[in-house]
Amino acid sequence: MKRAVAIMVLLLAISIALAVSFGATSLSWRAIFAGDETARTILFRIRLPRVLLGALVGATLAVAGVTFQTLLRNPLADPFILGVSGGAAAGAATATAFGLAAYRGVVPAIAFIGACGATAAVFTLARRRDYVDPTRLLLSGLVLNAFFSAVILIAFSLSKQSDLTAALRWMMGTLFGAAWSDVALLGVLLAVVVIALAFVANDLRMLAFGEDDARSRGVDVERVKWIGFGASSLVTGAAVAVSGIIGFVGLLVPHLIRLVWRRDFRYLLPLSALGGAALVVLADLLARIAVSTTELPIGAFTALLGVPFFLSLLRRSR
Amino acid sequence: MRSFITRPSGRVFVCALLLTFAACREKETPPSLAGSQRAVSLAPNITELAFAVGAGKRLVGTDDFSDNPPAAKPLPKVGGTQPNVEKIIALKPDLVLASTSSAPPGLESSLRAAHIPLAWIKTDRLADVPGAMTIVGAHLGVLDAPVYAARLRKDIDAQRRQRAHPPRVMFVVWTNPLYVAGRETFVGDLLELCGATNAVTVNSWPQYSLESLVANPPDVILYPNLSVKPQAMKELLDAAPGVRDHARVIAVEENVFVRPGPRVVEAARALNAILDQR
Amino acid sequence: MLALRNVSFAYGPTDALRDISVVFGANQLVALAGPNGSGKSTLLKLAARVALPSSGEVAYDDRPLRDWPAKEYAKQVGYLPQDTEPAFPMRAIDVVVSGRAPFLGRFAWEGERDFAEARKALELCDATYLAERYLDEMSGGERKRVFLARVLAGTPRVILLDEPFAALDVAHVQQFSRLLRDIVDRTGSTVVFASHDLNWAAAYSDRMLVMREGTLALDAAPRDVMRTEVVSELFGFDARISDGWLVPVQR
Repeated sequence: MKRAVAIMVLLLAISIALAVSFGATSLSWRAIFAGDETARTILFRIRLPRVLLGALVGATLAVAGVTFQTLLRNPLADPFILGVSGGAAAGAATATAFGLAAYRGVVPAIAFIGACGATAAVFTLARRRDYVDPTRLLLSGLVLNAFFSAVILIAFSLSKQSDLTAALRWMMGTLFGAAWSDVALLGVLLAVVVIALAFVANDLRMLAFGEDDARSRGVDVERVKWIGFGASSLVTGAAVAVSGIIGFVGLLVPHLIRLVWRRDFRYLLPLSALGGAALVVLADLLARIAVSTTELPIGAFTALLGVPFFLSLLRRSR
Repeated sequence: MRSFITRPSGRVFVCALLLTFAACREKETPPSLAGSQRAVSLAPNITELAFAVGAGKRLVGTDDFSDNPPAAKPLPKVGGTQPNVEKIIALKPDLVLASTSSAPPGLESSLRAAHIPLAWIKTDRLADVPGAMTIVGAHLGVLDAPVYAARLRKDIDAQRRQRAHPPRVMFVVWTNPLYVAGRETFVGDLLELCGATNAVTVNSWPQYSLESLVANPPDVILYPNLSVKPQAMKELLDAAPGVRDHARVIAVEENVFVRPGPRVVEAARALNAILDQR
Repeated sequence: MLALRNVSFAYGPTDALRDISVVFGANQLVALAGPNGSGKSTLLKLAARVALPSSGEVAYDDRPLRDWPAKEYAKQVGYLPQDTEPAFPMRAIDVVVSGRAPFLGRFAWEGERDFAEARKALELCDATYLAERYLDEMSGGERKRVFLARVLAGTPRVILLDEPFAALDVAHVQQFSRLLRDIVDRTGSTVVFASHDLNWAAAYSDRMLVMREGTLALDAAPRDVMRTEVVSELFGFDARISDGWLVPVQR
């Protein structure tokens, strides 16, 4: 375990180092040390917060993904596929479309409400007597995503402050304009959520064997589910509020970790967080440097990687 | 050449030439000699071009965004980005004029099904505008159309400037994320006409990175006053420290700057006024 | 040791259990027989503290269940539900050692002692050779033994099994039945298992409880249950007993 964590930390450190070193403009380290205002501004106020926010968003989505997969006992669960990201985006987008972005904290709060609403909806729709039907789960996610996309488009069509172009930003995801305040918000929330999940990590691990089984071993299943779903929705809401929908991270990362290491939630939680952070940092780096001065949408990269992976998983599980 | 065009026979000859030329392009609907009597314009710049050649009275309907000149406002509206084919048909037009850059797919087949001729007008670049004026005029039976076009061309050229130290200008189209007007676009051409250098070196309408903005701030930043709110601009500038010190940030009249029509001269004049103040 | 007193349970409007009273002592192999829907699973769930009775009380060592902290009770009573399948493929040893969970503190990891108990449990179930193998590489019978080992790893005094023979082929059922007998004899614990197959329920048990429509119809030794007239009255089908084995008779 210690070795695994060390490897992932190293991977993340390398990713961050690369991402900070490269960008649309080439920075000379000498210039930065010499005190060049512009170079410093670019590094400390634009590039660094963006890279760190990317790491936090990636860690968040991976943690939410692992938690949903464990709670729902379904390897295909991920905040985007389930529609939770969509719900958060619909909330955040509607709040923004109607001018509420001016008030601090309102947009993330409404994003959280949207995420919780989506979680509740997908859980209710997919639940059969005492288990969650995997097919219905995926179908519900699909339908909810369609619904939330519609909400976003309509909100911006009706908005007087904005127009339809803004919808793209939410639906495709971008780390453009990342500010230190975003980093602080998501950092704090992620820390709180990880601690909360660490508290119930052992119980979550037992849930993987079934709810009745876990109950017989002294797990307070209801409490664990509330904490698990609540924490995942909260942190997904925050991530989407700052960066829009970036999909498949919550699916890809836990699975890649499982391929290499253990399948136990207590291992997966920290390893996925680190892996997710590294993935998004690298994806954003590619998005920033692939074409000069222009940026490609990061959601597109994760989708390009994630969809074939998802299909192969689907084939294997049938 | 000029005297040839001002004589009636010259004009008829040019129109006939245009008709033959137009007829040879299969996709295009050739203008009828008498010109359309009941036309519908689906783009505000086409509407302005029609009125500029004196053929406004031949329009029986326009899209929702056509608000200039004032006489265009009361005309029946058929829809915005997604024109309503039923409303178009209800106006019993004999011609529909659409812009190649903004018409929705499926328009052509729906109109063909209704047996309404459709003419495409292309105004992607500044240089296309006088030619478009002539074509619109021809469709609407204005024999003088080439004259108007020539005058427009002359007025445009009158705004051409060469500047000793060309200012670097950026035209912002959206702030979050940042999208700008690149080279080889209508707006890009406008900037070059007025002697400015487009701060954006790539073509089309790319997304621009904050880093590049901070590393190489332009001298002037222009933004359309309807699509981009001052608050949005402020947030963009807050996220790109140092740019405010370097650049003048000016809102411009959106409907003048972004419509490739007769008012392009007004846009150029305004831009020159901005650039003349240093 | 484990006592149910006047216990009733209802799923919504339907009564699953009606006024059941039964006591389980130590060192017994008890079979819970009865048709599907007679309440066998529900009884086991209540005993395992997976569900709470609508009325009545369940007590262990003379203390009502609600006075037992959840983890402490889990160390005393082990439960194997009918379908246990972890969502993700795991190795047998990892599955079995997870049975030690009630012994771990909140942030603790399994230690040497836990792995030792896990291996002992695997040995008890004749599954040592399966330790490093993944679950999806095993047969149904092997998987069941691994899950039984998981329950045993917690060294409970009472072991509750819901339909352990379901989906096993005949050879494995026999093997498993004998294993249960073995465990009771070797460790002195009590095993209560539900089975809708009367024959295997009776084969090695010390005692048989027959459930019908949520009530306890009969609580007797297997030989007193496996009689033509008893079977005919309780289960409504005709059979003859041949060498202690129930054989349905065609009319």
